[in-house]
Amino acid sequence: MTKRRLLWVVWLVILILSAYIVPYILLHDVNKITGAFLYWTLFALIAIFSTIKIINYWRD
Amino acid sequence: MSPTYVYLAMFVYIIIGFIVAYASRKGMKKGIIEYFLAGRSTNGILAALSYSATTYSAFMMIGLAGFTYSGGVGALGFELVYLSGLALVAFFGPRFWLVGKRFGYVSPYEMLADRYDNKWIARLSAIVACIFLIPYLAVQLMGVGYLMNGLSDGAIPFMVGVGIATVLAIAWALIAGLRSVTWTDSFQSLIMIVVSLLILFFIVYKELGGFINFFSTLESKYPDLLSVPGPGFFNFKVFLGLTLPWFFFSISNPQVSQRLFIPRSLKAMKIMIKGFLAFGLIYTLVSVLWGFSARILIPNLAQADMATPTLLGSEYVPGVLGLIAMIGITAAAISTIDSIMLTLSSLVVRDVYHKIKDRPGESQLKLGKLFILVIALIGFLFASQQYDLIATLSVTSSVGLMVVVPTIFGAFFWRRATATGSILSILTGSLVALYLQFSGWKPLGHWPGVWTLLVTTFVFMLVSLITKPPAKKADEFMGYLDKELDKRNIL
Repeated sequence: MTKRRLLWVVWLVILILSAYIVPYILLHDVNKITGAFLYWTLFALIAIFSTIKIINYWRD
Repeated sequence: MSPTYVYLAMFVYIIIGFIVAYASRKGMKKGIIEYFLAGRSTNGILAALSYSATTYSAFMMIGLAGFTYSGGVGALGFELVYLSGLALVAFFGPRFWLVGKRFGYVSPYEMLADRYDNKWIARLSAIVACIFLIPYLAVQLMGVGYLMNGLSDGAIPFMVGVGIATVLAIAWALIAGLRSVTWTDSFQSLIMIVVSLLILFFIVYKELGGFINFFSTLESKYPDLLSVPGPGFFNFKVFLGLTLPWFFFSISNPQVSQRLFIPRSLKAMKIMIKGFLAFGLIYTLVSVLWGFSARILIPNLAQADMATPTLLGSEYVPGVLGLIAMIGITAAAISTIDSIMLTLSSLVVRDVYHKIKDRPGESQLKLGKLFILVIALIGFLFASQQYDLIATLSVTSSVGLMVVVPTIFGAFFWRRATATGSILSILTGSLVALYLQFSGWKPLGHWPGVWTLLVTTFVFMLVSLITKPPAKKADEFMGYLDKELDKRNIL
């Protein structure tokens, strides 16, 4: 359980850091809708699916 | 637009809202848990809709659309980083829920006080919450005032809108406590999402030639809005300063963290989280696209916060749609205000005056209701001052509330954490947040949120390491959780 939690936390930290690094460093000169707009939307979708995956482990 | 139409639209919304609020009283039991937590028996869908309406306020369609109008796509990143912060609820949500049921907590600060075995933590946190949430509440009241004023071309005075919003929020919080709040919230969340989608699709298809044309126009006319830092506002330090406090919103803001006590089961909590995530993504995208469309249709506005009210009152939006949009934004504001009032009142009753807790339930309830009125009055007076920069004030609230974040982490994940560490971190963090906010000083160019989190965390850890932890309480609290988390497969 602790190891699985740690792996998820590491994954989420990397994902969240990417929301800062990718648009500000890799996409800063892409002035298109397929630049930061698309990246942040994909980032949010991945964060949402990761959160859903974690809560789907729960049982009442 | 004629003020008669504005009043008429408000009248219809108010009547339906009251019918919903009164319907929620059916089957209501007595007692403080019933009043402040709807008996810990809220179903998943109601919890999801209410959580969404409480979280998303008038800031979205006015402040966030304004940010997009002037600063570009950074506004989308800012709000989606917040949404990704809901991952915290995947860890903290079931923990709050389990200990809430086991130890009978009503407020999140009551939980912290018990875990650290020190009532001052609850008292201090509750006072901090009042200091920072009342401005946030006032900003919502102001939003309604500006909107009614703008749509009626100034015929409806600002304070009339503020007054209507205050009275509605009081009524919907008082009628059945959290039951009427969650029911009216759900009704309002549906208005918010339907109305925002409706006006966005109308504008995009009627005025901007569909989404593909809309995006091409944006790329050709305003390319700098599509990258960061773009026109300049969203430089990296600003982005970090804005996103950091909002990332922790789901656990730092008591009006939403208290909602982690209310689902009737873990299954209901799952539905609450999934429903909110879907709502949040759609509502964020709509608010940002709305801001972009305003930039194309009505460029050169001096004040970005006026983008939404101006576009709604322009020739591009038919009067009926403008009115419906006003109701959608008003719903967003009021559903946030009544939740804050109810939560702050529960904090005062359970955390500030501990002697009240020893009184019978009925007496606690009476005082709780009285505090709702007092909090509303303070918010109303604050709103009458008409501060500018709606977005900045909202963000300030999140900076201040962030001071309890290390204490919350410590409560669940660090047995060595101490009450002294918590109290000193909350005190110093609050002082740093207030000082930096009011002085305007940004050391090394970083915003108050960054420094507040650093100082609070440092003080919490350092003081905890040199003071004595409440070992017995920590064992009881965390021992129970370890057992339950394992049994229920919670990470």
